[in-house]
Amino acid sequence: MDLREIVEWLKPRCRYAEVRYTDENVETVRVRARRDGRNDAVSQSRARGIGIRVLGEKTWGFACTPRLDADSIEECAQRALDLAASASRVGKRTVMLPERAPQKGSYRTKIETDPFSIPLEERIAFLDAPARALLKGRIHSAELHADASRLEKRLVTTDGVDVEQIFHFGACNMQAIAVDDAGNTESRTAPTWSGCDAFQGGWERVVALDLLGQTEQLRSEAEALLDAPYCPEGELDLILESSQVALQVHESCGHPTELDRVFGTEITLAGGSFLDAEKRGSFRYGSDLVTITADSVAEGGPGTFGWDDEGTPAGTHPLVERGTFVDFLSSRETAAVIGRSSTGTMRASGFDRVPLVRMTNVSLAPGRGSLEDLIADTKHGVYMLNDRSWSIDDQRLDFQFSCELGWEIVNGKRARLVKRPLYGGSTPKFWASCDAICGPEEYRLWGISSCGKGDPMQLMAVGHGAAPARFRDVKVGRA
Amino acid sequence: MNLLDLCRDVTKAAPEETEVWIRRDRRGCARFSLSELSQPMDLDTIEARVRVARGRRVAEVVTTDLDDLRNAVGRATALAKVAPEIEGFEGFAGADAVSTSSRSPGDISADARTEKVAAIIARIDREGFASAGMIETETHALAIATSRGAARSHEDGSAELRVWALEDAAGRGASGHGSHLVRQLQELAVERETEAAIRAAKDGKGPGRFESGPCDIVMEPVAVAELLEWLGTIAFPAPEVEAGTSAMSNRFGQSITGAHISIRESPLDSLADPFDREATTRRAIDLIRNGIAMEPLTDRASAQKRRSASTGSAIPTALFSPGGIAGVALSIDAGAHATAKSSDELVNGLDRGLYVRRLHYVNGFLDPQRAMMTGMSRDGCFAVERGRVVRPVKNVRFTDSFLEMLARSDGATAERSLVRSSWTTGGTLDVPALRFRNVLLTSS
Repeated sequence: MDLREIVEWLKPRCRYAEVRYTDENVETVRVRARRDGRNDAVSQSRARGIGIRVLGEKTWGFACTPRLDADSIEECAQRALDLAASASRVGKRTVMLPERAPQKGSYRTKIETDPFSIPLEERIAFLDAPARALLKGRIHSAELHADASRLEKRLVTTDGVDVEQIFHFGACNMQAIAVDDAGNTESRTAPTWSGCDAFQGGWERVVALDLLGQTEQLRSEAEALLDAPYCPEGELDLILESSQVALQVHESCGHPTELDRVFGTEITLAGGSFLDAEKRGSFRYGSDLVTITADSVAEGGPGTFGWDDEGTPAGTHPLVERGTFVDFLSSRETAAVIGRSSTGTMRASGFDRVPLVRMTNVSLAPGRGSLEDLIADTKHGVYMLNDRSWSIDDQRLDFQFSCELGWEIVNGKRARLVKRPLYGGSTPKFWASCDAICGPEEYRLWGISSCGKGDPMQLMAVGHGAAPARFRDVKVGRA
Repeated sequence: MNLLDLCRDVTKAAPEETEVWIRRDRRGCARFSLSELSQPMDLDTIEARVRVARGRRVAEVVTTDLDDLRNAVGRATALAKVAPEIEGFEGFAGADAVSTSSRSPGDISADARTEKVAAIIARIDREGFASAGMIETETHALAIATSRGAARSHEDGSAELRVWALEDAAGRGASGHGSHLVRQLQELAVERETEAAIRAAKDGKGPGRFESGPCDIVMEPVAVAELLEWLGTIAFPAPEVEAGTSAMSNRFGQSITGAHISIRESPLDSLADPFDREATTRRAIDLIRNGIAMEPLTDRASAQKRRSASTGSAIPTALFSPGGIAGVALSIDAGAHATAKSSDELVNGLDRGLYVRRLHYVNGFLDPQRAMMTGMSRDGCFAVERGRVVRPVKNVRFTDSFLEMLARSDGATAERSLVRSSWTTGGTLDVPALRFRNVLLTSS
C-alpha cells in the first residue's frame, strides 16, 4: 500500500496526520577476548513498520504496526484516530500547528564503502587483530565492537510532506581492562568511551580510527592506571578532552534547551529544565567564549538528516551565542507556543515510537590554539579524558562526571597520571568559568549512541562537536 | 497460526540446529503532562529472534516480520558458518523445556485508561497543582521452540501507574510522585497514589538547603529500587564477574555487605515470565545470602563454563546488558531489620537526617568493584530532626558505595513494593524502604 493512499484516507478524518515508514537493518560484530577464552558474537536485525500520528479535534493519537498489508495499516490508522478522539473528549487545550510549505525530496548519507559489502569474516578479523594486540601484560580482557546500520525512512503528511531518506550509521570502539594481583581493575577505551562512538558514514569511518595503531598506548595507560595515585581533591583548573566536552554539552546544554522538557512534557522519565521561555535572549549561560549551535546538516554527524520526523527541513540554529541563551530545540507544536518556528528536531527511534524533540548535532564552537598550548598555559589543574560515569539532576543543573584517567598539570606540564578523576558543578556557573576553548584543529564531531528520552524509553544517536576546553576553579576529586 | 506453532514449524523445517523465539507486545500508554492527556499511544510490535548453531558457532538474526522467518533462518545459517564460537555453548534447550501458560490481563481499552487519567488530572487540578504521569497497560505473548524439542509459550499482561503533582508544570518547584505496578488495570490504586503525590508536593513547597557530608537517610522503595537495579547490572551477571569488574569477582563465599542483607532473584513472586530467553525455567536464586556473595546470574553458556545449571537469566540483548544476562525479579531482604510498619517508623529512628522519596539519574560506573554510585534526590526530599520530618530541602546528591550503604542500614519496612525495572522488559524489583546510616552527600 502506498503511504499516500492512507494519508488520503486520513485527511477528512482528522486535522493533521503523518505516516512514517521505517526499515532498519543492523549488523553487530562484537569481540570479547579474555586471557582464558573468547565470547564473540555476531547478530543481524531488521525492524520495519509504520507509525501513524494524527491530530484529532484537540490532541494527538499515535499507533504503530509491523504489518504492512493494507488492512493492517488502515486498522493502525483507525487506532490512532480512536486514541485522538478519546483523548480529545477529556482535553481542555487545543494543539495548534502552524501552516508550512510543502516538502518533497530525498536525502542520503554520503559513504565511500558500504559496511554491508564487507564480508563478515573481514569485519571480525578487523576487530580480532587489536584484541590480540591488547592481551599482553596485565591486560585481562579486551572488548571491541563494530555496528553498522542502514535505515530507510519515508514520511508522508496531510499537509504536503513526502520525503524519503536513507541513512548509514555506525559505531566502533575498543576497551582494555587491566587487572593487578589484588584483583583491582582499570579500563581504557578508544577512540573514546563506549557510547560516544557513533557516526553517520560508511566503513571508511571505522578504518580511519586505526584501532590497531592505538593498542600500545591503550594497553600501557590501562596498566599504568593500576599503579597511579588517585586524582587530587580541591578546586582546581580543569581541562576536558573533546569527547568529555561533548558529553558535558549533551547533558548540561543539549537537554535543558529541549523545549518539551522546558514545558514539562517529559516529566515522566527525563525530567524538566532550569530554563524557561522568558530566559531566551537574556540568560547568561556561560562565558563569552561559549557559542553552541544545533546543526542537522553537519556531514558525518548522527544528528544529520534532510528532514526531521515531522517534515521540517534540516538547518543550523544557534542555541547559545557568546554566552547568551538565544533559542530552544523545538518542534512545530512547542515552537508555536512561544511564537517561533520549529528548529527541526523531532525524531523517533523507530516506527514504534512517537517523535520527540531530540538533539541533532549540538556543538560547541571551537576557539583558538592547541591542546598543548592550553596545558602549557595552566599552572595547576587536571586534564581529564574519556568519560566513566555521568549523573545530573532532573533540572539539568547539578552534575557529576568521572573519567577514565587524568593528568595532573603543574606549571604547564603533565606532572603525573592520576586515576579515577571526578568533577562536579552547577551548569551556568560551570560554563561561566570556561576561559579557553581549543581551535578547529582540535575539534571533533562525536556521536552519543544511546541518548534516552521518552516514555516508553527511546534511544537515539545524537552528535556533538567539541574541542578541548578549560574551566577555572572546578571542584575535582576521586571516584 | 499461534506463535508456538509457528516457532515449531520453522524449527522443524530448518536444516541446522535452530531456535526460534517470538514476542508480540501490545502496549497502551496514556501519557499525560501539563494536566492534559498529551501522548495517547497504542504500540503493536513483534520481535522474532532466530538463532542457528553449527557446533559452537552461533549466529542470531532478528526480524519484525513473521512472514520473513524462514528467510531469517537462511540468513542465520549463512552467518553461523563464519560466526565465532561461543565459549561454553552446548546447544539449545531440549525437550524437557515444554509448557504452555497464560494469565488474563483484564481491561486494556484506551477508554479505560483515559477515564482513570481524567480522574487523576481533575483531582490534582483541584489542589492547584499541574499533573503528569502515565497509565500503561500491556499484554504480551511469548513463544520459543528449538530443533531439540523445546516448546514453551506464555501470555501475560500488567498495568502501571506513575503520577506526579507539580507546583510548576516543568518540575521547577515542589513535586510529589506516586506509582503502582499490578497485573490488571482495575487493581491499580489510583486514588491512593494520587493522594500520595499531592501530599508530597504540598509538603515540598519552599525548600531550604541541606549541608553536604555524612547523613542518615530513609529512602522509599522507589529510590532503593533504582540503586538495586544498578547493582543488578554491574555485579550479578556472569560476564561482569568474569571480567573482574563486579563486586562479586573472586569474592564468592566472602562477605561483601551487611550480614542482615540478602539479595535474591525471585521470579516466582514477581510479574516475570516463567521462562527466560533460552526457554530455561526461571528459578529463585540467592545472589547474596546474609551478606555473603553466593553465585552470579547465568545463561546456558556461561553456566556451562561454571559447571552449573543456568539460572534462567538470559534476556534479549538490551540496554546496558550486552551479555544478554540480567535479573528480572531482584529483591532485597533485610532480615531481622525488616520490622518497620512504614517509612514513618524508620524516620522516627533518625535523630537528624533526610527522608528521600525518589532518586534521579543514578550512575553505578564510578567504581563497580565497590558498587560506588552517585545520584540526585527527586520529587520530595525532607529534613528530619528528632524523628520527625521538619521541612522540605532542595535536592541533594549522594556518592557512596551501595553495598557499604546496605551494610550500614539498620532498619527496613516489613512490607516490600514492586517497582518496574527501567532496563529489562517485564523486569521488576521488590524492595522495602530502608534506613541508611552515614550516606555521603556531595552536592555542589
